[in-house]
Amino acid sequence: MTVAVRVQNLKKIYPTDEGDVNAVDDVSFEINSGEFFTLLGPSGCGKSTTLRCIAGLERADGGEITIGDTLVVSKQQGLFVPPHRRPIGMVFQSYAIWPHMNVFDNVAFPITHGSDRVPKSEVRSRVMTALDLVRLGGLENRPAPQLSGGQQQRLALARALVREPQVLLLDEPLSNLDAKLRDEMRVELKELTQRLRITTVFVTHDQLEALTLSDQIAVMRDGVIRQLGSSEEIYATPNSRFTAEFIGTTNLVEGEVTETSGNSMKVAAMNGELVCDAVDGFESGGKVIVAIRPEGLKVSLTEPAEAENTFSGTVEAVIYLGDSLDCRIRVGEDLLRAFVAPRPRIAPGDSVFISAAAADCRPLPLETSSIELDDTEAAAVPSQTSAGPAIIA
Amino acid sequence: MGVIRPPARLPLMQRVNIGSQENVIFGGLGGLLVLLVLLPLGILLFYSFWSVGPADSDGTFTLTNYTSTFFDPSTYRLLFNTLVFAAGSMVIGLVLGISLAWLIERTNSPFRNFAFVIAIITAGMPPLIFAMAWVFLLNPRTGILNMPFTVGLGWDTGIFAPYNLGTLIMVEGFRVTPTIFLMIVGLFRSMDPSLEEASAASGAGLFTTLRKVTLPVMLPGLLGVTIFIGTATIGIFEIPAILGMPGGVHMFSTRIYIALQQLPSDYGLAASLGTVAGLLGLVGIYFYHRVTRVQQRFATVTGKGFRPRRIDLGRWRPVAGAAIILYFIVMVAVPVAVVFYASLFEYFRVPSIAAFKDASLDSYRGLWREEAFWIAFKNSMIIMAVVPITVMLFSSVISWFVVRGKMRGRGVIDSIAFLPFTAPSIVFGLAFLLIAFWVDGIIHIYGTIWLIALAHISRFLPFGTRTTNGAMMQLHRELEEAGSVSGADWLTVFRLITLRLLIPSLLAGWLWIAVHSGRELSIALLLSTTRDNQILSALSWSRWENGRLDDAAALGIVLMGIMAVFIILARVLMLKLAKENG
Repeated sequence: MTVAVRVQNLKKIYPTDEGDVNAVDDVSFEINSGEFFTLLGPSGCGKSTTLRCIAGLERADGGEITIGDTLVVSKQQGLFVPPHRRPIGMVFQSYAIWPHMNVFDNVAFPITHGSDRVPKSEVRSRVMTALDLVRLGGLENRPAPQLSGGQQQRLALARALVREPQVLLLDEPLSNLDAKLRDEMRVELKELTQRLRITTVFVTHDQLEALTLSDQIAVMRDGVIRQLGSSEEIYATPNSRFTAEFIGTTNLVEGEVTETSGNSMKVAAMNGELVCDAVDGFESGGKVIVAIRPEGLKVSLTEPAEAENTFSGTVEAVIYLGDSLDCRIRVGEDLLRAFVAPRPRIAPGDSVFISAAAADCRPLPLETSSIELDDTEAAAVPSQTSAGPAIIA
Repeated sequence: MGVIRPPARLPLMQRVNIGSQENVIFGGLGGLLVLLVLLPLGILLFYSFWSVGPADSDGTFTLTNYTSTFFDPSTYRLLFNTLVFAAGSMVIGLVLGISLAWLIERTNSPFRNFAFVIAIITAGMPPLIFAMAWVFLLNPRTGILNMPFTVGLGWDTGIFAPYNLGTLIMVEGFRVTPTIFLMIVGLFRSMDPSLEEASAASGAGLFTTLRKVTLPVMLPGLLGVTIFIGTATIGIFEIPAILGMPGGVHMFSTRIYIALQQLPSDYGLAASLGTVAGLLGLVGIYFYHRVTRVQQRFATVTGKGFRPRRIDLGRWRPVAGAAIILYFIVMVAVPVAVVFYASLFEYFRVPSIAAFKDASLDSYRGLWREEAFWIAFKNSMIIMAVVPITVMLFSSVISWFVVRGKMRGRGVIDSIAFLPFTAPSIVFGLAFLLIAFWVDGIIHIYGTIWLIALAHISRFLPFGTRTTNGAMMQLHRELEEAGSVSGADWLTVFRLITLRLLIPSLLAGWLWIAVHSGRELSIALLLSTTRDNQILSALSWSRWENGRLDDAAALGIVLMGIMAVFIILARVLMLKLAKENG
């Protein structure tokens, strides 16, 4: 596989009244040709800035960017290729459909006025192909402002694809759609990018979009990539408290490492002992946080015969979700959340036993700096609570 | 992961950014601004410190111009007059303008649309017509308002007199009312009416709400309007020239004019007075910027189209209607009728049955046959065709760099483009006159219409950039970025996307500048030195000075007609555009 986009040590600094802010701070990644790559993170994490640097809409303050075989940004060499000379197509959050043009002219613009112009005779067929691709065929003479939100979105996509770019850049393209349309477009986008096998860089704050669409996800925070991996790696084996909390719902249990041996480690937590799959970098006696997903917890009224990590607790609250129960269970100091089958029915006040497989217990380093999600971040991830089980199911 | 290849090398042109389109245009822009704004103002400053005028050689650096200006008590009289004049007319204009705006935007008063149309037309009326009309109305012997005393009681003179500071203030106050009204209507429209409704729901009456909620919320905006119009009033020439000079009431603008009209012209005095007036303007602008910055922080402007519930005036409705009709009579009907009436007689006659028998259109026929009229007409058309379009295009480019650009120095560019606002128009006339003398050996521009056009472009640039800065901020950045990532270069994006989307604002700014440029007098007064570069407003003025009141009035009416045609055409075009885009 060839590398379609390479970002090396990218830096972007914004001067503010309170001094410089590192919007993007030494970010590096590579995207293989045909891959769907997602930059995921809360607002202000630098994901959009990174994308805009790839597009050339922002000038990097350091690092290099290569698209295909061409170096487009190199601070060291003083090189900056302006956006109109980069082989890209881009869809904006606002769609940026030109209201003074009709649908056809919007799509035709890149191949009639851009750097990749095609002969006049070809324009029509190219535009029609692009419109058919996004299922807007037949609407070419419609004035652009008369399109619905979803149609404008497709139009923006057709305009980005018509010049057959090497890289498709998507800046939160789904965030302005209503929930139902967003689900439809997500499926369509996945299908389209897979069919075209086009290298795609996707920016979102929505973990569900990221998990369902991506081949690779870069989780960003404060201008830094916190974790890079496939959807499954990011969800199942988060490497930080931030990633664990930002993606899906998770229980965090504080403890102390008591033993590390081979491929398992023991943690003193919840007035007992928790056995986890071993992760590098932990030593006996060190503080640790163990992340356990709510669907990783098994709950039973009687003590299970053979189960790892069994604790007894008391049910404090139960929310009926139809296909499952969302339970809060008190185990010592900790309040754990678990998604369990609706039968047998568990009620508040019941004494229960919970257990979790060692593979579902993920030890994480104790983060000292600002580990709480602030308000804006919490607001940016509205579907956080319900998305977890849907992914695994 | 793929093989890591060494990055490909690019041709030199792509590596070095100096040659990029934006930078070339940005550099050109800076150069043009220096030529158009800094050079004239710099030359003015130079001559304020120079012992002789441009016609004489061997001058030296001197402070005499300033010392003689500041040791002369009449300068302080001038300063006092100008400040009282500006303050007084602003009070009148604000009271009338706010009342009218409130009636039209917030109540169910009758004739609302009518009043709006009237305001737009009067805002475009040449100040010259306004001043002339009040002379015809208030002249002690022949003034129409003095008729009850002169004709009725047989007195020698009536009780009204035009040539004093009080009349100046009243007439200027009336003149600025429609402009103030139009700006304040904008403030009302951008204010959330639920603030007023909350007050009403708390049990506050109509006037309590107006006093305690509406006006305080609008205060920063009102201050901005006041300073903006007030600074312009300090520079107005026509009103003090026609109503002030005969009575010895002088303002900065008229004093500068006199210093240049006398023989030999006192360039040093004119330049130093101009510099002082410009500094006054700078102070005004400083406060204007401070106030508008506060306004931006005020949460009243949301950009949402509010549809306020109108206040029911009840039994006051007919009173409001009568007030609007009275406004129309005083502001439009009477001045235009009086000036038209005056154009019908070779010498101004007190209206009577006998006088009407002698009425004729001879002055219009005379103008029709006169070559000088057609030259002035052609030149006015050239000015109105060239100046507004150039200013709006130039402003669009400036605003792009100011609002969108990332270059260093764009703030400076913005300030330079706004600088001409601070100085009275006549100062621009003087500055470009001095430039024309200077460059005469290189390019002959002295005495041509192009010199006037250049001075107008410089003069009206701030009005253009105010419009385009605001419009550019409203334009979503991504619309242009979508063009760049589509592969279009800067100029293509600017031409096909930015300018196209700015058209409604450009049209509004174009109309404003066309009207103001077409009626502008004081620049042409200093620069229309030959028969070939006369324009209509200057021709009207010279006929007035020579006592040909009928020709002056007829020219005023012609000018007014041209403005009306321009305004109507532009509004039809705007409505058509709004319909297409809506």
